[in-house]
Amino acid sequence: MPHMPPSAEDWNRDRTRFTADAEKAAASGRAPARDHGAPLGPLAQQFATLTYSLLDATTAGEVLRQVVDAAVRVVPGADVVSVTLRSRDGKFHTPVETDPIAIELDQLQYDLLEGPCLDAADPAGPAVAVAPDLSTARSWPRFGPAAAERGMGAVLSTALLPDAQAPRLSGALNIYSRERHGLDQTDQAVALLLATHASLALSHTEAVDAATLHAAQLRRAIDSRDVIGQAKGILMARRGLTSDEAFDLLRRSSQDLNVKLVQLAEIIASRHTELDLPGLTDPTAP
Amino acid sequence: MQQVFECRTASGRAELGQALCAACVRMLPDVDAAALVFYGDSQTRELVGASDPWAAGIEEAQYTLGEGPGVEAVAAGGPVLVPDLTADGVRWPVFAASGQAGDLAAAFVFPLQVGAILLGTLALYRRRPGALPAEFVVEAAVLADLVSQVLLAQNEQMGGEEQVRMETSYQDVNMATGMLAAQLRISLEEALLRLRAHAFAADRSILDVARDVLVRRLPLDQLAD
Repeated sequence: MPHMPPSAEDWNRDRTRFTADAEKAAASGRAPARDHGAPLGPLAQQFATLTYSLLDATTAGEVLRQVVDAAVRVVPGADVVSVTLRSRDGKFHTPVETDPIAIELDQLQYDLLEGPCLDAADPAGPAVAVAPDLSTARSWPRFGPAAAERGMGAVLSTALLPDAQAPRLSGALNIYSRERHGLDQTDQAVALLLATHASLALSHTEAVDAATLHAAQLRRAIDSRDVIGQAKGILMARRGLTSDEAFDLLRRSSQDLNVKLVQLAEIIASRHTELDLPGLTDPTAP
Repeated sequence: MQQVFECRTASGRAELGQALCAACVRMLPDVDAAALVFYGDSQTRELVGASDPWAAGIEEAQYTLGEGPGVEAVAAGGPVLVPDLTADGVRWPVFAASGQAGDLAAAFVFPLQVGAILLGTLALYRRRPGALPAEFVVEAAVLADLVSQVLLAQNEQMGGEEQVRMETSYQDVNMATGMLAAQLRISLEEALLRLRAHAFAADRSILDVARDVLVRRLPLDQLAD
């Protein structure tokens, strides 16, 4: 079948279907389960899932974690993935990685002051830095062979926040393959898409280094625990439950409603005087 | 400083909090006790650890009364050094006069801060008045940073479910706040205020009152307007 560019009519129909799906998904809190016209390929589905989970992520650390986890799944040649962040003082960190070897590989570059992570994380550097074969990488004469000795064949670093103005945060999404020439044009294209997602999510955060990312997560955990405690108390009062029963009810309901436990607790805590969630509230309560 | 890192071998979160406080007392001469507290949004707290029950009681008193050097350190985002609490009683009249703080004479509180994010306080307490020598002020500030890093690392090691499921020292206050809010159909802020007011009037700690609410020992009309 010859490839035909979509007509304006096709385009509008597709857009209508897509909007309807998105609205339905937003109302149910689920990622769109139905494709809109054409079946979604596995890659598109991964991106749809990633986009929804990024909307859900509350800290920059969560965003980065989801991006590296997605990258190792959807970039065909990826064996190991990490993120380099360059803080305002010019220091480099690896806040998330899919394999401990990545910390070693990234640190090697920070110590040698050469490598694709550094080039891509440099706001004045290239958007993409690639070594198709690390053992013969001319651009990084010390890092290339050292990475090859550690079992790596190829590397691809894509800039995060490439529009960052110094001294703003910048960084790189690093994808390592154990195969020499294991990363090609497709991998580069997918990496660029992922890096764009990560950059958008990161542009809303002021977090500049791993410690701040972790601190934001700890703050979030503290507030979550407090609000879950309050929600438990509300359920205990309304249903005459024990503390453990209240937590089990919260957890079961969060699964049934497909809402995060903390979000459910927040809803109960903030709107308990007006809210009657089915299955959650006591029908005999005043 | 090595002692702080050695605390990382402590099993469990409560043990870690206590070990960190004990290390601070050992490393800073002239300090009787130490306590670590996380400050949540909307006035909630968690006692991470205390070197002894006395220090834990001082933290409970501040939670009950809503004032004290720790509250001020969080509000100010910097250290609060009180060499003589009786002389400084005008800053926190209720706290100083409450008796819940026992024989506390001097308090030195340092924020647990990472970048722009404030997690809580490291408080050092002493039964005898007197300033903390300048070199120890610096050392205590560094200790607070180290302690923050250890607590961050510990949080990172926990899974998401474990992080939110964790029982905290003041969890009973959170649950009692929720119960009261549901029973009296008032906001959570209002419920916490009533718990505090009742505890203050009865000269008890907020934690004791919260436990009475949870076992339904405290008649609700005592907490109504």
